[in-house]
Amino acid sequence: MKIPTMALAAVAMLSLAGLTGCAAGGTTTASSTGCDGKLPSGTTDISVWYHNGEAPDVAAMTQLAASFNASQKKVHVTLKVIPDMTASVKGAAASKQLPDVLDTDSANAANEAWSGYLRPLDSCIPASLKADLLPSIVSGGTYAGHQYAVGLVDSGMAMYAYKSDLVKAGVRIPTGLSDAWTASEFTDALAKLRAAGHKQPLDLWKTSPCAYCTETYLWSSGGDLVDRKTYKTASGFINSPDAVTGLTTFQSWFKDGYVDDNSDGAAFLNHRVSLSWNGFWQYKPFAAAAGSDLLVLPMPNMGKGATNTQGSWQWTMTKSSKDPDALWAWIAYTLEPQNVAAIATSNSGVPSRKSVLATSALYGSNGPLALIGDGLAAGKTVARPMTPGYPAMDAAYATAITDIIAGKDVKTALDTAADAINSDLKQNEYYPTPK
Amino acid sequence: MTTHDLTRAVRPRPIRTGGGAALAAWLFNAPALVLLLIFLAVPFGLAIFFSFTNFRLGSPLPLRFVGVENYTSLFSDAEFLQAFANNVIFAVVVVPVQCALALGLAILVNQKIRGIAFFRALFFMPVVLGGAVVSTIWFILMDPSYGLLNGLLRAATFGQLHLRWLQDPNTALASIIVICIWGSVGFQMVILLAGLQDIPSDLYEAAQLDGAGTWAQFRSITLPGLRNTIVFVVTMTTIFAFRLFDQVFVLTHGGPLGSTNTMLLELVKVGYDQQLIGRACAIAVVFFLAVVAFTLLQRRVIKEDES
Amino acid sequence: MTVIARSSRRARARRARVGTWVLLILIGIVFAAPLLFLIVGAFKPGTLVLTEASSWRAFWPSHASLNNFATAITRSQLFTLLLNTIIVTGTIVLSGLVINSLIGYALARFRFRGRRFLLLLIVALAVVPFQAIAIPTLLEMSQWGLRNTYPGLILPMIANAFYIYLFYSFFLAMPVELEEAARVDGAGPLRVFRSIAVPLAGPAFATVAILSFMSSWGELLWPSLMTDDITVRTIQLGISVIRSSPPINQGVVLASVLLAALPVMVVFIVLQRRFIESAARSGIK
Repeated sequence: MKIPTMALAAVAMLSLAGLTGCAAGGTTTASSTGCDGKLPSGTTDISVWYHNGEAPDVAAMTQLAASFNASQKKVHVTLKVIPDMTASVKGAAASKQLPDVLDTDSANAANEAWSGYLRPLDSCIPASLKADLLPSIVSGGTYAGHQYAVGLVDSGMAMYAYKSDLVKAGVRIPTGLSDAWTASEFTDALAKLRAAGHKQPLDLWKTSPCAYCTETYLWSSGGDLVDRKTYKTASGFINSPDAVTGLTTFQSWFKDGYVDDNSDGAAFLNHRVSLSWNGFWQYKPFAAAAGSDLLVLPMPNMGKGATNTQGSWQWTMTKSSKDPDALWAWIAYTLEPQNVAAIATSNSGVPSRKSVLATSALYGSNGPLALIGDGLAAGKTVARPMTPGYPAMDAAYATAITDIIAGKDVKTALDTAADAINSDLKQNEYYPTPK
Repeated sequence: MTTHDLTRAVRPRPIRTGGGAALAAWLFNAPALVLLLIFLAVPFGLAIFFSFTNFRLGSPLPLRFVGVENYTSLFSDAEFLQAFANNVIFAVVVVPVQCALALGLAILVNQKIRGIAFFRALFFMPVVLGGAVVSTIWFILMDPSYGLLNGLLRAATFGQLHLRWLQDPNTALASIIVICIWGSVGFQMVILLAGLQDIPSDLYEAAQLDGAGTWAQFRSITLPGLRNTIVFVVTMTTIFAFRLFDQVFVLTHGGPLGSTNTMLLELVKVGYDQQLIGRACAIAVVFFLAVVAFTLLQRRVIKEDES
Repeated sequence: MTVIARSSRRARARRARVGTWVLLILIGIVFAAPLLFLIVGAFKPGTLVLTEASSWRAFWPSHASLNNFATAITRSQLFTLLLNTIIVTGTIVLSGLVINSLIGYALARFRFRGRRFLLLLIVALAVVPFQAIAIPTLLEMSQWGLRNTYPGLILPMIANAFYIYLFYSFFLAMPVELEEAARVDGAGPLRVFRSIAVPLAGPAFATVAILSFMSSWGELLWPSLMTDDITVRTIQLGISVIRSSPPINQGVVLASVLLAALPVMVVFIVLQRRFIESAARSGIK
């Protein structure tokens, strides 16, 4: 008879603990006043989290924080580099330990805003600055009509190629998005390259597929992660007949053995492959390896036009108790043209301001990565859906593309992803916009 | 480790009884009990509670009860069922194979030979290094293009055969099994070795005088003498087998095609990556019940075997 | 017993001895090769680790240098992480030995109401893996503001149902006469425990020390949820950053793994003899 009493007592205690536990997971309720252009008197100490980029990137940002602190006495920044941002944000949010300024992957900003962690930046960004930002930065940081994220750089991908291989195999060289290879032309090119001596001519994320680096193939096929009009379903979008067709072609490159494992990460550097679908961050090492033989080409057109992706790490303001003007002072400082240029140089990213982009040696109209820069400047890139459901969509698509590369039936893989996204939407009551 | 065993074991010769003993006992118990309560019992209770709710980290939606929805949706989710099945396959293969190998190794290193301590330590070393370190090493050894394993295979088959090990859905789970056995068989070996050393050596001497062969000695002395140890080892290995996590987390993240997904990995993906705490907690509860059920079932089989 | 029978038995024994050695060496190679690969690889340039992995060169330190170690140490602030890990693991192991042995002893030696229930509870809790309860525990700790603190990393790991069970069965199997004698001489329970039972239970303490040292040294999930601050992060997190963030250099990966494994290897080698002997008399059988 003792056990039931103890069990009852335990249950009572647990439900109590349960309630407090939930309170911890709930939203923070800081005031949501915006910028009024006036800094508080005295010195305001603010904490800033920066993602763990490569060494030069981190060094440049550390330098920027030091020069900001030295340049004035009103705001003092403490910069912390976070190795595993996703885990840290989750843990910190649960214990209300988020920093004042948070560096976040723009695709997750909507989710963080929905969760109540972020404060809109609308009242802080001057119109003149906003007008100079790339369209991708503005649209990629906007959720529910508010700007939540702005940053120093944007991103893009490219099909890097050894020109001599293409010439030798007799493969046509496209000049831009408009005359990109068609999917079948690309398949044909792979066969020609193989015949010319490269058994596995392509590097395409075979060993570690990710959503960001393969989503363009879905979009170019005519599919999407979700219905962007209603954000209520993925069915008929991620698994639309066009998407299935396009990704079946994508899969055939793996099935036919055209794709290198690249487990050493040196497939292109060692010239084992002729083509590598890769990010802007690989330009410098690739250029060092291939020299003047390097080409930066668009992805193949999977059916509905070749395109490119966008999105990078961006600043957001959390609902901290500090004066938003103090937080903005730091963000505004980093967004000054010379600072944008310095960071963009350190991490090879695309400068987020049109004025800086125009003078960029890499991304300007005559630069080697103009393909990426021009696409972003002209707003021709596709943003990942700015919706709180994006993390679930990212996970579902990453699983689908991994399975497709491993040989799973494309339709089945995409149907599974659609189900996963729909069930996430349903469980979150379709992410109602916070008041 | 089950109820049955414990109730049988509860015949100690207590040195203290009565009121004073109770007071002393609770003083001795208190620190551990407080910690166990706060950091194990309450979180587990919370997990049960959350498993009936829509609780999600960072969600502004109000918390509400959803009944058994998290459980029903689990059992219609192909990904979870596959993870569950992988756990069962893994346990069914690893438990007997690893225990048998461990017994073989234990007998081997129980020989009175000079330098045997070196081999004992060597076979135990992977356990010391831990799952994440072992996985890091084998990830390179099993690389499809450059790995040592494929180098050996190619040499043995004159270049005819090479496997994609962790990257092929047909071989990935088997590869994980190999890595896990290599990495942890030393643990069971040490425990069984201890059991072996506890068997009085005069039993063997007597049997030798009676002319019993090696096999007969093994059957009639070693196995019965190790019975309790083997039961313990089998139970432990079963629990560890269900807890498979580090290796798949580091090596495959459950792929390819979900062929190495496990319940705990699924729990971590659902709970941390997707932040669906309610659902993750339902997985935790199912996991707990599955391990208890599997252990009890195993007990039954061993018991019947005995009678 | 004739001379012939004796000599043939001796021949058989010699054959068995040779067989044992052959087996030991073959199995020894299977266990030693990956370890040797780890040690050698840690000294090689990253590209060679992979490209030389498929032949005998995998075990040959070509272009050996200490560069990988230098990179590993500077890239992840390895010494800070190492120091944190030593603090966290040391506290968990030492306080765990005290707390778990106390309750294990009480369960084995004292008769009190609720004892059977307590035993059942402990056995049931031994089945619950930490991963399963990490989220609710994280919420608890966050509530108390213990994220990014040593106590947050340490407290949930001290009491351990499995170690309690090991102590319990060890004390159960230990003869009680000495303790009874001490008691008759008027020693209190704590005194009996400290000066009679603990010294006799050395092997059990060694076993639990090794097991808990290994598991808390290797813990990955909990510190990754509980910390974002380098000042309290642990070594496994540093390694996972080196392993997963580009540019990935397998030589540096192996070097960092080796550096992180060294302390555990040392602890094991020091306690090794007691550990093996321990099991012989402990309840794990």
